[in-house]
Amino acid sequence: MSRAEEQPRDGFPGAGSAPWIGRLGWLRPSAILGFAFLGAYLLISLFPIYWIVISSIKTRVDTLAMPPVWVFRPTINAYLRVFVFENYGRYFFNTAVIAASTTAISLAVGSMAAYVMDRYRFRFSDLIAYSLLSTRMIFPIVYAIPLFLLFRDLNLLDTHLGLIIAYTTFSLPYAVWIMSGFFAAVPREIDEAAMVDGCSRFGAFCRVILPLTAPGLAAATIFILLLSWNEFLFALVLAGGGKAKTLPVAAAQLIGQREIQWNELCAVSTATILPLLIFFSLVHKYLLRGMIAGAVK
Amino acid sequence: MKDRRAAMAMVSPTVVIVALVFVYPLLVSLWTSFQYKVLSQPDLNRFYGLGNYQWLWKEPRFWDAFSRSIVFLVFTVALSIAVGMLVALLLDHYCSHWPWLKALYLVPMVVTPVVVGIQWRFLLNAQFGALTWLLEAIGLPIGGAWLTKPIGAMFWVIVVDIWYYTPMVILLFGAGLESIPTEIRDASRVDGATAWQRTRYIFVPMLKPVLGVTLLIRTIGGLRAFDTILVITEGGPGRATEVVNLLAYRYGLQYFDMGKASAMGWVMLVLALVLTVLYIRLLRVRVSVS
Repeated sequence: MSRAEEQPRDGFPGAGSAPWIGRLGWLRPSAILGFAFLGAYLLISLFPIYWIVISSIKTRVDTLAMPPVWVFRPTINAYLRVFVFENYGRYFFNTAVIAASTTAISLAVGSMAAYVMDRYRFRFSDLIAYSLLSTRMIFPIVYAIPLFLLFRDLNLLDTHLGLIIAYTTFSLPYAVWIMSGFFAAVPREIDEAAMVDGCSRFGAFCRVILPLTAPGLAAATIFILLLSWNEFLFALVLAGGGKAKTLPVAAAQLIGQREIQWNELCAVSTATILPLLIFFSLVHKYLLRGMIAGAVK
Repeated sequence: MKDRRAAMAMVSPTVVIVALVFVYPLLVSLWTSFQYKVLSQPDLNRFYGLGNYQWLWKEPRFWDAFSRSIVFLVFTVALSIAVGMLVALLLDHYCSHWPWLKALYLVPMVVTPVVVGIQWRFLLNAQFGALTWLLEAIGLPIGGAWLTKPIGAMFWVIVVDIWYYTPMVILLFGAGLESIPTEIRDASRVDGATAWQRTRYIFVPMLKPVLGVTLLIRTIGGLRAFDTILVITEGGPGRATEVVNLLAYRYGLQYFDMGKASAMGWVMLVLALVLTVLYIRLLRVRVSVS
C-alpha cells in the first residue's frame, strides 16, 4: 500500500507520465466506476459484431439454437453455400472493384484540387468549397433519382462504371476536405524550393508535396473506402438487380426473402465486413490523425 | 502565367465532376419536385408548380413521418453525443497509454450499415435472438416480441443508431482531447486541479468547437438515417418507424412517384440547411473548408 499513498494529489491513474499500472489508484471507487463503464460499453459495442462472425461458422442448427450455443465445432459450410454454390463471390468482386476505383479516382482528383485551392485563390474557389461541403448535407434520395433517370438514358444502369461515377460524387468532397488540412500544414517554401530546382508546379506536387502528406492520403483512403464499400442506396437504385450488384445490396435482398437463412446471411455479412475490419486494424492510427487535421482544427 | 494555367488544369477535373454529377442532378431534382412525374404513368407527366409541396402539406402520412424523424433525431443526437463524450473523456483519463484500446472503441464505425441492421435483427429475433434471450434472462422483456410493438420498434432503431454512431463521437472528441497541448495539462496538474476540475474548467470549454462540429455532423447523419431502419423494421410495424427518408424511398422506388419523392428530399434538405445555419450562428461552429 505504500505505493498507493505516494499518488499525486489528483489521484486518478494515468495522470502522471508513468503508466498507471505501477500504482493502485484504480482501486478508488470513481476509477472502478469509470472502468466498469468503459468495459460495459466496449462489450455492448463489440458483441453484435462478434456474434455475427461467430454465427457464420456454426452449423445451421447451432445458429438458431436456443439458448444460444457458446462452444461449438466450427464449420465453413455456410461460406461454401454462398460463395461456391451461389453468386456471392461475384458480388464481393464487384464491391472491391468499385470501392477501390472510387477511392483511387477521388484521391487523385481531390488531392490535386485541394492542393491548388490551398495555394491559390480563384474567383470560384469559395463556390467550389461550399458546393463540396454541401454534398455532405444532401440526402442520397435527392440525387439518386436524377442519377437514375440520367443513367437510364446513358445506359449506365447496372454497370461498374455507373456506380464508380455516382460514388465519386460523395467521395470527392471527403478527399478535398481531408487533404486540404494536410496541404495547409506544408510550408509554401517547400513548393518554391522544388520549383527553383526545376520542377514544374505539377512536378513539385507529385514528387515533393504529395509524399509529405502521406498520412493525409491514408486517412482519406480509410474514409472513402469505407463510404464506397458500405454504400447502399445508390447501389440499390443504380445497380440493384444486375451484374454490378454489390454485397450490401445482396445482403439486404437476402433479408427481404420470405424465410431468412440466418446462417448464410451471417456468412455474407461477415464476408462484407471482414476486409474492412482487417484494413481498419492496419491503419487505425491514421484515422485519428486525419480527424485532428481535418475536422477538429 | 504558365504556373497558374497548370493550377487551373489541376483543379478542373474536380470542377467538371462537381458540375456534372452534383450540380446537374441537384437542379434536375429540384425541377422534378415541381413536376407531376410518375414513371408508371408517363402520359400524365406535366409541370405541377407547387403541387407536390401542397400535397405534402396536407398529407398526414408525411407529417407522421416528419415527426418520427424529429423524435429519432433528437434522441440519437443527444444520447450518442452524451455517451460518446463520456467515453472519450474516460478513455483520455484511464487509457491514454493504450492507443490500440482506443481503436477498439472505434470498430463499429467500419461496419456496413446494412450489416448493422442484419446484426441487430438477428440479435433481437423473437425465437432465437441471443439478445432477446439475454434480456429475458435478466428480466427485461424488451427484445423480440417488443420489436413488433410501435414503441419497441422505435426504441430499438434509435438504440441501434446510437450504437453505430457513438464511435464517431468518440473519435471526434478523442481528436479534440488529443490536440489539447500537454503544457496545459501539466500546468493544471502543477496548480493542483483535481480530475473533475480539470475536466469541468479546462477540457469542456476547450472542446466547445469540437462539440459544435460533432453536433452538426450528427444532426446531418441523424436526418439521413435509412439503411439500418430499412433492414431492421422495414418502416414497420405498420408505419411505426417510417421516417421521411423511408417514405421518400417508398414513393420514389416503390410507387415510382419521382415528383413527390423529390419534394420530400428537398424539404429535408431545407431542414438540414436551416439547422446548419442555426448551429453556425448560435454555437459559432467553424466549418473549415480550405
